[in-house]
Amino acid sequence: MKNKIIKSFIICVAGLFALIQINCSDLLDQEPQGKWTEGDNPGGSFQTDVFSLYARMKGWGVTAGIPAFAVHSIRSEDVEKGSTVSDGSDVASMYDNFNYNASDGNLASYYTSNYALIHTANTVITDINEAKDNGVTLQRIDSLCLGEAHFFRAFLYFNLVRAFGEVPLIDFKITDAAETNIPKSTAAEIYALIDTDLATAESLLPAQWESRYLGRVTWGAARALHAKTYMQRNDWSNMLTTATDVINSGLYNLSTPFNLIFREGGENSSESIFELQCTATAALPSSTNIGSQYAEVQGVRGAGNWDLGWGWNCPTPLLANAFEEGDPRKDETLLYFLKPGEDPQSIPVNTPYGEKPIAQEVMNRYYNKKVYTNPTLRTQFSKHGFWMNIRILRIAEMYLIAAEAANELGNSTEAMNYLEQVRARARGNNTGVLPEVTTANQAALRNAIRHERRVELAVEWDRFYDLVRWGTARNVLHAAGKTGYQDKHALFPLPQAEIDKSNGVLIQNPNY
Amino acid sequence: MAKVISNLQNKESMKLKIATMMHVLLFSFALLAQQQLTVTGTVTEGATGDPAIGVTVLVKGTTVGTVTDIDGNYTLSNVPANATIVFSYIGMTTIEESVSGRSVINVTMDEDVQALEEVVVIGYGTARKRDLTGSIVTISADEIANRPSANPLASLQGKVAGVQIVNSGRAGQDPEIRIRGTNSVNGYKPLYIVDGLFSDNISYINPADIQSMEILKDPSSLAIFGMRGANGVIIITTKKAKAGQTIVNLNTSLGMKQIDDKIDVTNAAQFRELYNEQRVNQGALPFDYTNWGADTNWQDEYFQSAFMLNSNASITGSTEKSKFYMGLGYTSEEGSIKTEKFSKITVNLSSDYNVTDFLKFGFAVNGSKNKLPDAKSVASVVRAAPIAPIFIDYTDPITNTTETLLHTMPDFQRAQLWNPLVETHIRGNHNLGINHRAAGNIYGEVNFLKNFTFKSTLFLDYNISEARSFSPVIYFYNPEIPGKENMQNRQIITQLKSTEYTAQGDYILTYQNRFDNHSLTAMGGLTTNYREFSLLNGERSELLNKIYFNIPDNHDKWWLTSLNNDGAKNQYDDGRIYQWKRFTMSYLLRALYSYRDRYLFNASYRRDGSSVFRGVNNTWGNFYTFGGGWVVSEEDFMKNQNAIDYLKLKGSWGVLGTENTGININNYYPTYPELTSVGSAVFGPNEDIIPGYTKIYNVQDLDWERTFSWEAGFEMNLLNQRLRVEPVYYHKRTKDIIVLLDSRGGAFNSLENLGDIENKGVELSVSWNDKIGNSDFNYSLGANITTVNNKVITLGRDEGDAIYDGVARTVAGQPIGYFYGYVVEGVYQNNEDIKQAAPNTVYTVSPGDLKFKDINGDNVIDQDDRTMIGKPHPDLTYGFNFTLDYKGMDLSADIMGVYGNEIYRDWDVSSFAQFNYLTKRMDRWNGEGTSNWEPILEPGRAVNRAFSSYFIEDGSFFRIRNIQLGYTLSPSLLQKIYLKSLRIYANIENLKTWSKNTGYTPEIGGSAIRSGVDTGTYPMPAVYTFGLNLTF
Repeated sequence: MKNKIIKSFIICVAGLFALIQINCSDLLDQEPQGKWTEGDNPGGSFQTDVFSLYARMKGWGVTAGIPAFAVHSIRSEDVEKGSTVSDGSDVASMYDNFNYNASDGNLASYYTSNYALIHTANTVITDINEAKDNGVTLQRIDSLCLGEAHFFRAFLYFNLVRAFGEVPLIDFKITDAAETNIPKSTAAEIYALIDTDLATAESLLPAQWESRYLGRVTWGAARALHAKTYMQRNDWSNMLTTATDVINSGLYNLSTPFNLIFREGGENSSESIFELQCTATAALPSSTNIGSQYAEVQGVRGAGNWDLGWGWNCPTPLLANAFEEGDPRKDETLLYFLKPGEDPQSIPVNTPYGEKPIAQEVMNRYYNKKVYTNPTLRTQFSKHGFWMNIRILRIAEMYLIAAEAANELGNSTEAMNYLEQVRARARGNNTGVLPEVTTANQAALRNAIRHERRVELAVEWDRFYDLVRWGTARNVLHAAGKTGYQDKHALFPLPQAEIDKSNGVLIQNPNY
Repeated sequence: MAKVISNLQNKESMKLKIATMMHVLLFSFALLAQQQLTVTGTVTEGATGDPAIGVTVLVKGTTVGTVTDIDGNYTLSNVPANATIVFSYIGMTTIEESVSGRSVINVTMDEDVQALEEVVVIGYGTARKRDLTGSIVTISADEIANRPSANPLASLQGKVAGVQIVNSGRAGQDPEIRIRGTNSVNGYKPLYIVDGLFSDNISYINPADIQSMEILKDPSSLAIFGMRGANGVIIITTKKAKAGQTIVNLNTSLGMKQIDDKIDVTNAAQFRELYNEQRVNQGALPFDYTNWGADTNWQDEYFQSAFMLNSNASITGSTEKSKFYMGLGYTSEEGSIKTEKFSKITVNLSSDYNVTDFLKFGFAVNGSKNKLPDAKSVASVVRAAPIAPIFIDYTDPITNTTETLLHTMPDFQRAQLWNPLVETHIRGNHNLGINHRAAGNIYGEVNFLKNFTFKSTLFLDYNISEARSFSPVIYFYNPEIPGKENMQNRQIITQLKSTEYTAQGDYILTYQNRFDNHSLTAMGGLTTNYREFSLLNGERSELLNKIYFNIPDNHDKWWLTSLNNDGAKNQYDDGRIYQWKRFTMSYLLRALYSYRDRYLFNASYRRDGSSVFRGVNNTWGNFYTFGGGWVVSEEDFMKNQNAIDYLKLKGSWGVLGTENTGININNYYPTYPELTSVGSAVFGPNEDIIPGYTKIYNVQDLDWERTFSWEAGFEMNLLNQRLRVEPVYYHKRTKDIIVLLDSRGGAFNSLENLGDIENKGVELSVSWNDKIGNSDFNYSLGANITTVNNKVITLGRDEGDAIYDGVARTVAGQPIGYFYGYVVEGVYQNNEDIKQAAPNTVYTVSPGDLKFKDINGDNVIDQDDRTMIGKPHPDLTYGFNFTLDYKGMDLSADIMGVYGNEIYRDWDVSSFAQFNYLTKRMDRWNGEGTSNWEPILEPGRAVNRAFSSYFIEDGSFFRIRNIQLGYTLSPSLLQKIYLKSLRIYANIENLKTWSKNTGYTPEIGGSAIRSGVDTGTYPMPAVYTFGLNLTF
């Protein structure tokens, strides 16, 4: 009897084990819950990565945050850090006064944010080309994506080559993190990649997207960016060709009044070649997911209703004085405000909303009016303007690039013509201001064009790089009181964290 | 330690005991009784004078026997007049008394100090401590009872060699526990096993329900836990009913918490002096103090003396067939910050039922409800400028109504720091966090063929956490603007719910036998463990001008549905919603063998299959161990000496594992190429939102982390068992550590088996027990010391591959997460000084700035001069304890400390705001010769904020951890009021800490790769409690 019990017991146990074994083998297969994996892309589309590029282009480190403003704008004499004395004092020290520090977090953020997007662009390019090589018939959308990826990669490397000079050239999809540890390439090699990328983008991208994709990169954007990269290299003839290609394409024009370009109503106007699309909704009133911090970082640093943001990246009095008498662009570039206790009559009212903001005890005299938000939207969403599109490329710059190149190539008539079109638009109906520049003297005209770039494109990214390529940085910055500037400061040191991680592969830039 | 024994009441051990008794019985069977007597008497416990309940009383050489009743009384009839009566009880020295015609025999039993039959819980079974070859520390209920910590592990701080405990002063927060160092970059948490159930924490257990805790440290004990065992295991055994008694136990304590040490920051006058000077240094205009004339001590406003209450009741009972235990506990504890409050209710129910003498069933259920405190940050209160007023009475100019508003902060910190009292006065009690947990098991156990036992147990564990919060529109008074300042223009409600579910099944077959000189316990089995987790997180908010209903100060309305769905919809963030499932199944084998109780050998093996690495076909892992021991004192050649009473040499070696892939939610499925949403693209006139996805990492061939571990040591009792010494050397080396290297240039990285970390050190426990002369004055002294030497052998592909987390760096050749920066030599006094010194090529330096040391001697200060400036791991942790009892009085004291670690201060500077100054900044450099350590007041000088030894503080500390004075009333007195025992006591925890750092506490926790960085750590209060414990 007892033996029987034991026997059946052992059988039961064995059976139980077997049963567990069978059930458990299935349980050992556990897949990600509620997460997509690589193979899940709808229809094998490459678009998800491309959309992520658009999403991240408006991110903190690339265009919308302190790293972007510090690298592109604050170094120039026309823009200062702004805000209060205690807010980011080391940023002022480094970017306003050229006490470069390779361990600076903003510098690292700029470097890694640009590269992170390059890696995604590389993935798209490699994947699409591999599919093509493997005989997959590409859809039209796939080659458009390929064009977009090439455009973004060029854009990002253009950022890096201007900021750092020599950087590692990574133009392949990373399958193993070890592959990223490569030595720097020369600036010429980086520019060579930029040229081929943009040429490819120009060949693939459409002149216009269907309406629902308004805001995606077009042929014009690639060509305009190409013009800017030639400009940075003082390559006058290519600069002229590319800029005039865009001007003559008929896709863009100067008909948008200057005072509308930077308002919410002026988004994607005929002026716009490329801007990063941002928005806010009732559900996501202040989200970097669909919007950006572009306006927040630059908004008025006040209290209560005037807490429009952090108040960084501010036009300087030098810039204010640079405008010609009566230039209407001055009031469209400078946002006037009061400090606590100041007489409200001491500043003009800000059009078109008629506001006189009150800020804290801040260091700057003006805010950037090119991010001045609509009060109605402020009440509707949030005070910090997450919906403001980030203007990247606009047609007026193409006119100025064409003018500069033409003048350098000795064609003053053509140069004067392009210059005058920009001034005419700025002038509007106010014939008493901004007289036509009529000097054919190359040096005088050069100065006039440079001045025009300064005021037309004020606080729009590139003043510092203009000074560097013109060779005037040292004189101009010293005259502006930024005596810390030396020639070596044209290029940043590579972020120390990257040097540390490279185990000796990455060599620090000279003089740092 | 000796106390443990008397409390251990374990089935297996009882059986062993009975087996031994049977032997005795057989040998003396020949003796026959001549005269028959009835013998009665009382058995008492020598140490306490309490009646000894359940003592086996047996006529030697017969089966005639009984057990003592609740009052310690027994009656034996048919006892031969010349017989010998044997009194025995687990953990007590067996007493033999000749009857010699007596009819009343009263005996006093003492604890068996040799503890040779001490039984310890080792996971999937129990074993005699003397058969083991590893290091298992048993903590009895006594050592944790009557302590004010809601988590019993917190009370073990400084008491156990090899276990470093970092406690938090925050009510309801679990301590950080590291057993023998930090073995991996992915974590250090040990595994908890509560009555067999694997668990990540024990916050659902009532300390009063715990019978014992065993801490398993060595490879021979841990390998049976396979891939969960590498960081050590803490086994919790909850109380079960004892045979033949019904006992009701009540205990309660009332206490108060007090923060004694505040951080020394400047008052208003000092602040003005420093800030004025700083503005001059920055070239800024003087600050206008018109509206900022207060002198606020924010710390005084923020903290409170807190009260706590702890009450427990338990009832145990048993009949011939069944046993039950019921426990109920309630803890209520205020936090040291105003409005913080934690409470916990626990119920514990267990029962065993014997169907036949070979078949048994039982179940146990633990339930708890924890109300989590509305946890507040500490740093803001130290950072807030003293010149800001707290409140202001504001009269609305139109309605002429007056209300009290919080004052805003000055502009130099307003964007970073709100008035800290927002947390207590406006948001206080506005976070409702609650955790419900129910864990339980049912089992069936059958004994067959004499030596076999099969036990099958099914465990279920539900853990549900919910939290809701409401934040109203917040107004401040700001003297710079008319009207009220609106700081948060929305009313916001959040709601969160997470569910974790675990199902575990254990099927264990045990063979136990003792024959001739051999003793063998073999175990084999199968266990499965399934876990799933999901977290849901929602938020709704209404913009100021769209508020329809004002959410009242009533938590019935603090639900998402209270806000309209139009103005602001649910806002989800992928990072805050996630879910995962994991499954493991494992085969187990273990054998414990001893020959003549002298030569010990054990081995175990576990084969683990896990879902984590199945995606790359690395499902199965094998973990195993061998241990050996030699009880030298049993040898004949040891019989002729008196100095050494007991000596065991022991050693073990094993391979343990971990499937830990880091805490990042992106790492739960490391073998799948997951995509993550990184934001959305926006296109078209309608601003269509299209999400973008990108891959998180490339999948690599990923496998377990494996810890190769060995230890060697001995256990020795000397001088008539009074002195015990237990030294152990241990060595652990974890290979194939799963590492996510810092990416280069924004590239994503992959989890890879790249790391190799070594921990080694010595643990030493010494204790002395004695009484003074022949008096009733008993005392004991104990000490333990642990050293941990942690070193990263490799971390990546190249020697320089490192993980950085702020100042903490993990790299080959150094301790994990050490502090990496510049060494400060002094302060540049003048320009000549700068000229003379090695030039700093990293930072622009001016007089008043920190002067770094040229470490590599190349006459330039550059990035290569960064070096180790400190490490968070102590060289030494130690503890002393002391007990004294005299008649009913008892006194105990614990002292503990850590030595040789550093703290990195990281809360006193910011480049975006001016915080309040540490008072030591009054000694700043402000001209030649004024200071050679405190730099100039100029936050624009990045050099003074670089990671450097300026921020390093000594982390060593020494603490009077606990003092308890108790009095146990004499049983004779109590009998009149039908009480069995009554003890009253007073306890002081954290009476005094001697430390050198500036923060609130020297106990700074953190992650595996970054700890000891003080970002504003919660103060550690002194806790004064008074309590009583009664049994009837």
